[in-house]
Amino acid sequence: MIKPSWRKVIRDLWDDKARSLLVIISIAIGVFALGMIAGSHVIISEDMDASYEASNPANIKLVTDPFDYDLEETIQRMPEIQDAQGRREITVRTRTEEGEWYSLDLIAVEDFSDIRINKLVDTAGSGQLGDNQIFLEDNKKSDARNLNLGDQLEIELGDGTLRQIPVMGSIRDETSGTGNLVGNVRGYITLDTLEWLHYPENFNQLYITVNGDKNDKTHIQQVSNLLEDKLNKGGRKVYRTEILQRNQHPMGSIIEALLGVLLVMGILIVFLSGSLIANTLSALMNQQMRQIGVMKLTGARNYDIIRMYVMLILIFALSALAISIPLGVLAAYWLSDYATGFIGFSLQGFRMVPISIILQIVVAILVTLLAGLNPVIHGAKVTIHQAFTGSSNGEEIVKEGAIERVLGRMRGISRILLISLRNTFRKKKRLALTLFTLSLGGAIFIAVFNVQVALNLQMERTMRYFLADVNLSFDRLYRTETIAQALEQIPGISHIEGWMFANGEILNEDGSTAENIYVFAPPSTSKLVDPLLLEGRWLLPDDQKAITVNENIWGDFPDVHPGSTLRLKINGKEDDWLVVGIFQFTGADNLFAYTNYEYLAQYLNIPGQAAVYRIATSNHDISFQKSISSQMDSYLKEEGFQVELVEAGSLTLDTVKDYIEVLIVVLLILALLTALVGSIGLAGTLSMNVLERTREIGILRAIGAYDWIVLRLVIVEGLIIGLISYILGALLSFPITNILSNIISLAIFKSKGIFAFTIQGFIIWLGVVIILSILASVIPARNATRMTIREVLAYE
Amino acid sequence: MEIPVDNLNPRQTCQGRQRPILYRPEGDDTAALQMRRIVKTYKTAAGDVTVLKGINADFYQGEFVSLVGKSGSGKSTIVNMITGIDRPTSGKVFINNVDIHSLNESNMAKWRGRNLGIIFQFYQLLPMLSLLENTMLPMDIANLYTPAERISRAMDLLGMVGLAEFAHQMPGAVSGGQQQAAAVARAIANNPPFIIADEPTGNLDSKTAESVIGIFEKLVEQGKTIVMVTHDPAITRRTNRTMLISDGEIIHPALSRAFPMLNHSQLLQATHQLSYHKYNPGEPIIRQGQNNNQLYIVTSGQARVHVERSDGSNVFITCLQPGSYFGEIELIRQEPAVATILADTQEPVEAISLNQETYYTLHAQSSVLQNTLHKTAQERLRENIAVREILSQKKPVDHDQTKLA
Repeated sequence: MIKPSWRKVIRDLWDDKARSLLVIISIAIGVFALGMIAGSHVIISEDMDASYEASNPANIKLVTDPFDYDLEETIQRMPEIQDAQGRREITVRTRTEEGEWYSLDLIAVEDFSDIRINKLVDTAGSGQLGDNQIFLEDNKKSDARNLNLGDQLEIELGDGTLRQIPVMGSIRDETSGTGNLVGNVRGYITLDTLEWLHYPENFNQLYITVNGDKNDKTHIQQVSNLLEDKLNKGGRKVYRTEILQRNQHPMGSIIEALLGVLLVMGILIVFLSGSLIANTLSALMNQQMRQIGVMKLTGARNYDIIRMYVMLILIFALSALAISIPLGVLAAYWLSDYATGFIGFSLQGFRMVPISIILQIVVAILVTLLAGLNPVIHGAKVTIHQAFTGSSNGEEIVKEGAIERVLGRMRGISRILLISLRNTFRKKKRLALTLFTLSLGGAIFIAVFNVQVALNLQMERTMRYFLADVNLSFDRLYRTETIAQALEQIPGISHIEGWMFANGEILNEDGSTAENIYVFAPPSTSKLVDPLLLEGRWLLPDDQKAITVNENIWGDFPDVHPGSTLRLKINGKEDDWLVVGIFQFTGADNLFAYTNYEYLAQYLNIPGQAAVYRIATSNHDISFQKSISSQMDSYLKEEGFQVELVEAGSLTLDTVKDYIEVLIVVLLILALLTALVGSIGLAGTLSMNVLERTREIGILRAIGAYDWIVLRLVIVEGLIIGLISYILGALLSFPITNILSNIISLAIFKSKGIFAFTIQGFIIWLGVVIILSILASVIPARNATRMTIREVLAYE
Repeated sequence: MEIPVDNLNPRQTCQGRQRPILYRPEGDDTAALQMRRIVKTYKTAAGDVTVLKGINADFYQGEFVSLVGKSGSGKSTIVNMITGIDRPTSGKVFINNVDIHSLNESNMAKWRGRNLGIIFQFYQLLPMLSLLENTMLPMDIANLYTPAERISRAMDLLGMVGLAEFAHQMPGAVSGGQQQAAAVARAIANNPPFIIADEPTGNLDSKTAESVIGIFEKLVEQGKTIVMVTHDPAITRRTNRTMLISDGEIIHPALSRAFPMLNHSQLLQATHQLSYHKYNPGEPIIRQGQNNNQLYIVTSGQARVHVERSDGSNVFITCLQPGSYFGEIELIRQEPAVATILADTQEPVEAISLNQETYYTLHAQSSVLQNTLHKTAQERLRENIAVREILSQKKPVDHDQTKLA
């Protein structure tokens, strides 16, 4: 036979199912969120690293002058080199079904089945890559272009010849990092296919794995220097060098930072759940006051009472775990699977993450105990006298505080509204806890919208350096006047600039490569660059061997300031360049430099010529840009120009904005969870308020209050709380926006965030909080109308 | 056979009338508030408990009725049935011809706000509203008065109950009596025709209780119907009518008035055994010299008592008003009737009666009843003889000149 005291615990749990469910759901939501995030954190980290490791990632990537098998073999024989493989990367034009041309990067390999470095994962059972076929990378970029297995891609060669190349496979490169999201669509072909596409069958990229410690950057750098020397001595220039450590996934730091943000939000949700639990348990102890008095009358000590209610709390926690653990496991895997689409890695299979489950158990029990212990101890300490004479169910004397005095002075409003107003502030501690959860939920919700705007603004900032409406590139150099004259025929074009781009390297004193740097060279009078200078000045027309660099320079060269020099190797030529200014350019870890086109063209012996052009149009919206691009493409080809690419300028930004959208969606989900906790808190508070005011409702019924009056009473109270929380949440959203924006911006862009806000978040949250308040009120309000007066007034 | 009447002294005929003891077991459809066959059964863990066992009761406009009964007798349940706070298991309640229990909860609340004022033992004011706001609240709900009228009316009502200067105080800041007075003001805020009060003075000191009852009396004078549950005999004496409830049934008021010495259980037992009679004007009820085995109580109209003299003439003895009993002499002495009792000539007479068996049962159960009846019987016999003797000294009357209908 179960002891009466434990029977009481079970009955308390079972008899008021609504209240029990409320407590359990409150705990479950927070713990579920934590489990989802912690679990996905582990799964993503482990599987990302495992995928990366399994792909045998290169330690060194070199972009060089073309080379053949012989050089590859020679390098393979170097004692420092574990393995070496060459590839050739070319960029071609292909077009959508709608006829829109876009760039396609093709990577040619010697033997698809023998890719040993940066191995690819076959995602569609593709089999062996044959000649004149393409295996496309399976990622969001390909999805965006609606490219599928079996499609025929129409490729335009430099001489205007069109080739139809079938998509025969789908592969994933798990080393590409952000390449999955930005840049051109990529595909793989054989070397023989290169010839079919009128390209020479040789390599221009070298992938190296080193012997020795593959995580020792210094060692890898030394090997890289050796290689460069060897290539230079062989008369080949190295245009770009990339050093990669084996244990560092390219996206690793970004993912860590983002998962960290999500973890913080998960902890916040747990914290909010805790305050919700405290509220509910406090009301439970209030309702149980008389029973506690009776138990004490029969000999129970404080310890016995506490023990009973702690058992109740533990049962709540365990019940919540029964819900949150399985759901958390499923959600963690779902989130990880969702992430594979953007990060590009393979999941190792569905599994439970033990540490995540242990964390959920510990948090559920700890948080529930911590939240519930205070009300339980407080309730257990009540004396028998207090228990039997304490106020309950609306008989309490309304103490007059400042709020009551203000409300007391209110005139001219209906008594029904007055009741709702005064009832709202009746239990201030409970109100405060409810407002806390709902306001915080609202603040985070609004902040997420603001952060989205801030991140987009951040992205748009990068476009200040690429203000062109149309990006045009040719397969060869043309005289800038020739192109300008040709393009003047096309209406809608307002401005044309010839640019240069070069891959550069910053050299150490010993001549070894310290870092890669992209060099952009717009005309000195360019109208298509709007820099944000942090130090120094922008380039002047007379500047020679002068550059401006982005703020990332301080990561590796903290002492560089305007007036410093940097030793650069550009297209094989080494020189000291003067830094005249440092500008802000949000872009991962990359280094960028600007110099004048006129000087660089001269420096590289191609004065007055350019293969890349930037064009401004009279109208800047994307549809106009696309239309002009299409006209330009047709016209230039008709005129015999070898066009490589014509593309609307806004497309670049749109692609990157998609990346931001993903993050915003995840944040919004968490914000909604937070808001859900808040609204559950509100529903709980209103339910408790109604239960404690049954006598008041009975009196109102007795004096004529029909259903709508009673409903209105509760709903208005809910709305008042909701609106107060809205105001507090709106105010709180500003600092939270700032914090969230900074954290995410530092994680993605390695720079502080921009503070921005949008009215959209405020308006949407206002609508959401009104709906949530009404929904949270409906059930307690309906319960109130269903009470019979006899029940509530407890006659005789 | 006509019974001659000695009408030498007109003052000895039935003049003046007392109020009839209004109780129709089967109900009176002309009543403003009618309870018909009300049964209320509660389901409990120990089984079904029937608290009201087929109550028929009527309340007339302008009445001040007290409901009295022991704890658990069902009086508050009756009030709950009237107010709609609870619903009967079977039966109906009509208030001004509205079957109130055919309304759903919401419509009943609405109807109640306009037609009933309820006063509770524990005041039941809303603690977060001032006395003025509590008084205005029913008007806000019912919307019978404009917002401007509500304030002035509420102040008037509070003034009427002596609380004008406390209008802006919260209930917790005033005394119990003042709270109850405010509850009265609230109850009449919408000028309802009926006021139902459940132990309104139960929590008050005698002085305060007195003032509350004074307010009720004023309201009755204004034409309101008040039904009040009370334990206090001093208060019941101030009501027009007392309805005694016992074990979920109504005790016939004539019985309780005639035999106040019997306990509720005995009165209820007697109620179950009652016979109901109606007599036309002048119709004999008991004839002198004939056997009588009933104990009668007049419930409406007046009965005349005549005694036949040795010379065959009849002498008028007295009038029996509603509430008076007769027939006890015959039952005690077990002899033929010592007087003739007949309905007055002006109006019909209604009476209830207990049979011999019931009488003897009660007689045996209650020594106080015994003594009272014996004492009454002796007094009446002496009166009979005395009147007969006095009148025999006067001039004889022409018996043929006066006849009974």
